[in-house]
Amino acid sequence: MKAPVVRVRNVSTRFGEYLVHDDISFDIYEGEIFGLLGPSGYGKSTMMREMILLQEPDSGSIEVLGKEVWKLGEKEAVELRKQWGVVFQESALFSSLSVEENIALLLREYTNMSPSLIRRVVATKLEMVGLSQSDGRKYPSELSGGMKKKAALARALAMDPKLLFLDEPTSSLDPVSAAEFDSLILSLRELLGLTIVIVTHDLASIRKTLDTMVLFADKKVIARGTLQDVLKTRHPIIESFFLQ
Amino acid sequence: MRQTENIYIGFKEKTLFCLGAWLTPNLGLVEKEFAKLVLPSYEDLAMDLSALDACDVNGAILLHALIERLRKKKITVILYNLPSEAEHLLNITRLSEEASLSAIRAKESLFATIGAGAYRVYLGLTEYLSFSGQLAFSLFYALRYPSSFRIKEMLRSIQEHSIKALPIVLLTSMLIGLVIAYQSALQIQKYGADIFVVDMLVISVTRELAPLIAAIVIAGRSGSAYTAQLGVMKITEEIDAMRTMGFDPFRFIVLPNVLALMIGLPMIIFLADIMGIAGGMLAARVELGITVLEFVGRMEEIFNINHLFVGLIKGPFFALIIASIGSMRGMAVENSTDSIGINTKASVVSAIFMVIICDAIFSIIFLELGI
Ligand SMILES: Nc1ncnc2c1ncn2[C@@H]1O[C@H](COP(=O)(O)OP(=O)(O)OP(=O)(O)O)[C@@H](O)[C@H]1O
Ligand SMILES: [Mg+2]
Repeated sequence: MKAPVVRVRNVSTRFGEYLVHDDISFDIYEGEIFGLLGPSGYGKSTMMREMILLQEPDSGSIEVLGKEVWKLGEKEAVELRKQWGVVFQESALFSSLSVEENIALLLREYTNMSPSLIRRVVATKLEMVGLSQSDGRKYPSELSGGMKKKAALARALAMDPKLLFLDEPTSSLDPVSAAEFDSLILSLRELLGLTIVIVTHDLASIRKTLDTMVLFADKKVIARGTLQDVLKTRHPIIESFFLQ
Repeated sequence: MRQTENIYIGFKEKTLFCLGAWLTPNLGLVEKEFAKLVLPSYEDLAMDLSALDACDVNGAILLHALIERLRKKKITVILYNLPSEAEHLLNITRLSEEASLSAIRAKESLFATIGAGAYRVYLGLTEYLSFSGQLAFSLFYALRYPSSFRIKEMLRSIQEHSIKALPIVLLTSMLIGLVIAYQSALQIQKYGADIFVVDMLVISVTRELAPLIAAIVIAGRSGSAYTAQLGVMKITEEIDAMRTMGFDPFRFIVLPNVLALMIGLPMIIFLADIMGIAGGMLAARVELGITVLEFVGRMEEIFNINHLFVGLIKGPFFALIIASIGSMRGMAVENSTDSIGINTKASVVSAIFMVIICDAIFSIIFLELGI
């Protein structure tokens, strides 16, 4: 078995009085497309924010790429952040920059590549996610929802991360675009061997893309493993979740 | 191969060696090393990739770019010992080879920059004309159908943008009156013409200073607020929502704001006149020993009511400038957060500038009329 890329151990999180995660543990292995599932409000986004250093858990430990993320110094944290890409639920493209500039931003900031190489890289990333070069010159406000998602994915891929986090990438897309996006993710994993962590509700993309998953409910992980494993588990939430 | 400096690329016996980790953070160095290499113009060149430890997509893109650069110099490149990983990546990047070349943008020439600037000014003017047209239309509409006018909005706008602005405007005006009187007292004293400080103060405050100060403070405070409010409403699509419900934003937001300020600003100016003179009175008392009674007596002698009207009549015009530029800039906001900042700044700067130009025009008119 390969080494885990993400190790979550005994994580508990509370917002004031309200307990969101109660002693949760799971592993994500290299090359997997891993799903964080569960009904709305059960702490999927919160778990993802804890992995990517946006929110600290109250107890427990989270290791990403072999580093315990909440024990890192500022400098190491910056280094680690460069090794993953994140696509937020609302794409979060910088509205004052064109798509090309959004993608080039990290390269300009963190590498000393020449401008002509950066242009090539940007063009390749656009191509990889299926956007045209003229789309690259547009501003986020001039893009459709699906194009924004693709642009955000291209931005997340800019630094060639080994690890990709996607928060509900296909919600708010029509079924056709959602299916397209799923194929895109599969082909990226195929081509680049990425490890991809996805928060999702979308049954079609759960079936199509996920290798393994955990299902959150009642502050715990109530099922884990492949889709078959999860479906075999007896729990009222599982029935309602997969019969939506 | 030189071992110390060259860690990524080396040249020996017609062979280019690529080595080490061609990963995103190192690529800038790889480029620099390649630039330093002195490559003889062989007809063909071998490229040995056996020592390439790691290579990511961006590394493959660079490799591709380098090969292309050599080929342009009519050098044939033959790849040896390609690790399977790199071969795979090269195939991905080959796809976008053509596309990336077309993406290179030309640099603008000086003339193009000047031309584009002039065109923007022209666009700004036409934009203002079209805005004024819509504003006039909504005004006539309101006159024709008075019941459609949003009187409540207007009253709220007076409260928000005129009454709440009073403390800062009045304080500024008083301080300016005080400073003017104090400064001129120092000069006038030398000629023993102490009492003339009253003439100078009263006339300059009522005709020029109070209207200008009020307009400038209001442009900074309320002009920017109009722009930001409308701008955010545009970004959050509230303006579009209003339109689809049949609420014309001009009728519901812009016209009430403009009229409110046209009513409010003359009142502000009137109060600023009083405070400016009061400030001057204080300085005259302290510095020249002119009592309040003496001051008022002198004022009665010299004061012509025209001075007051000259100042007040500017109010509605300044207000029109400030409120319409502020609203126009707000409507010009486009779908980005940057755009709000740019337009707010432009709104304040151009409103103050236009107010001063307008003031100069008034001076000429009043001079010709002999008022
Ligand atoms: N900053 C916060 N302060 C207080 N409570 C919060 C905060 N963020 C999240 N919560 C609570 O934590 C719980 C989990 O939120 P989270 O966003 O992780 O849900 P989710 O599983 O991603 O839901 P969804 O599928 O709707 O996105 C919710 O009940 C939410 O109310
Ligand atoms: Mg969520």
